Amino acid sequence: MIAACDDFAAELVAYLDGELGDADRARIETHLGTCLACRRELEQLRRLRALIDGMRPLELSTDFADRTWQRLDPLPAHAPRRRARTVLWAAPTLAAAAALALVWYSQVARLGGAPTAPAPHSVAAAPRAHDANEHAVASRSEKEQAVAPRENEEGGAPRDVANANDVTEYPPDLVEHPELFLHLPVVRRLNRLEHFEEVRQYQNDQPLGQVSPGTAEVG
Amino acid sequence: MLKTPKVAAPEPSSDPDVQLMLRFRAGDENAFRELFEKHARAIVNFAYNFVGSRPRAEELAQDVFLQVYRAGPRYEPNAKFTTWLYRIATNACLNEVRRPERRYRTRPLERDTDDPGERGEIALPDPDAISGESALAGRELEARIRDVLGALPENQRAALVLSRVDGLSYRDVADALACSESAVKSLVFRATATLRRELEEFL
Ligand SMILES: [Zn+2]
Repeated sequence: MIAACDDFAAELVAYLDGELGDADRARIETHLGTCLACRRELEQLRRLRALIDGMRPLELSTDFADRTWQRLDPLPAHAPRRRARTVLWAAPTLAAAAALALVWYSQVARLGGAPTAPAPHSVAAAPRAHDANEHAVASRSEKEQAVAPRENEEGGAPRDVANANDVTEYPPDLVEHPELFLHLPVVRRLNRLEHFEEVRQYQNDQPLGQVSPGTAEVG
Repeated sequence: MLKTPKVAAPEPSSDPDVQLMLRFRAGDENAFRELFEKHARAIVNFAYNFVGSRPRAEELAQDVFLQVYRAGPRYEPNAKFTTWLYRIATNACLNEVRRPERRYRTRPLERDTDDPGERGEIALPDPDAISGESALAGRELEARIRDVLGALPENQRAALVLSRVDGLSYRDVADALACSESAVKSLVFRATATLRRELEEFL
């Protein structure tokens, strides 16, 4: 290559990369048509590109995705925020209903009535409160499926979703008519009471389902 | 000098990856998973071409997706998704190789090579299908290319890998490196000139 070709050499890489404008490309091609040295240089650059292109890409380690999910999981991203918002939205409703329950429960306790703890699967709630809880559980479950699929193997999140359709014996909407709570049979009122405690536990990320009536007081 | 785009760059909103990112912003974590599965291998390889070590490359790629994940709630579609993604990846890699305790590791003679996966041998689709001799020659050549790449100044290495290996336009490389297109052109040219000189025997 002669000295006059240096200017062209600097353009050949961009030429090969397709990054030159029309005028520059035409100028290069005109020169290439008359200059053997630059044609050879271009050929060398093409071979070099072929060498680079021939580098074999790494395949990902088999556990790469899993390790990545593990690092993502503790982040305060969407799901926890959404869950927190949902529970907050439900809180006034639950507080009102729970206060009523508390009044009722203290009356039962004074009379010496020892309520029996209901089985977890019989837990139910007022429709609106239940919907809120179901939504919260579901969004948590979605997150775990999406980001940390392994956690579901340890059980937990989807537990309550299985009972989500068990609404046949729900009382009327406690938000609109909290006074109706007092008209429920005793056992179902106790069930409501336990449900409120579950929501409170859920907010605090404690294990659910281990509720004794004595812990049901809402602070 | 450089070509001027004949058509306007496509609106970010027409980029399917941007759509996924918007779904992720709205809380759909499956959209994030989809983006991860689509781009993880490219980002790991970009980092690998940059730092020359599989464990470090995978860790860096995780850092990149961690940043994407964290940025999700605040994401604004101002660019093509890959432009944005490579900008994050480039910054992560540049920060990594600029850490004083890491600098020496990008020098050719000191690259770690103990791990059989380090130099990409396990990436061979079917090693037995290639004769032992040519496979060895291929590995030696590739190791040599990686050594030369690793010895390039960081900006040159970034520009070359982004444009040549990852196929980004000079415009997108300029975006990733926060410099001008003509600077990218110069970086790619100088990187190529070094590779051409160092790999002359293979050309
Ligand atoms: Zn010439």
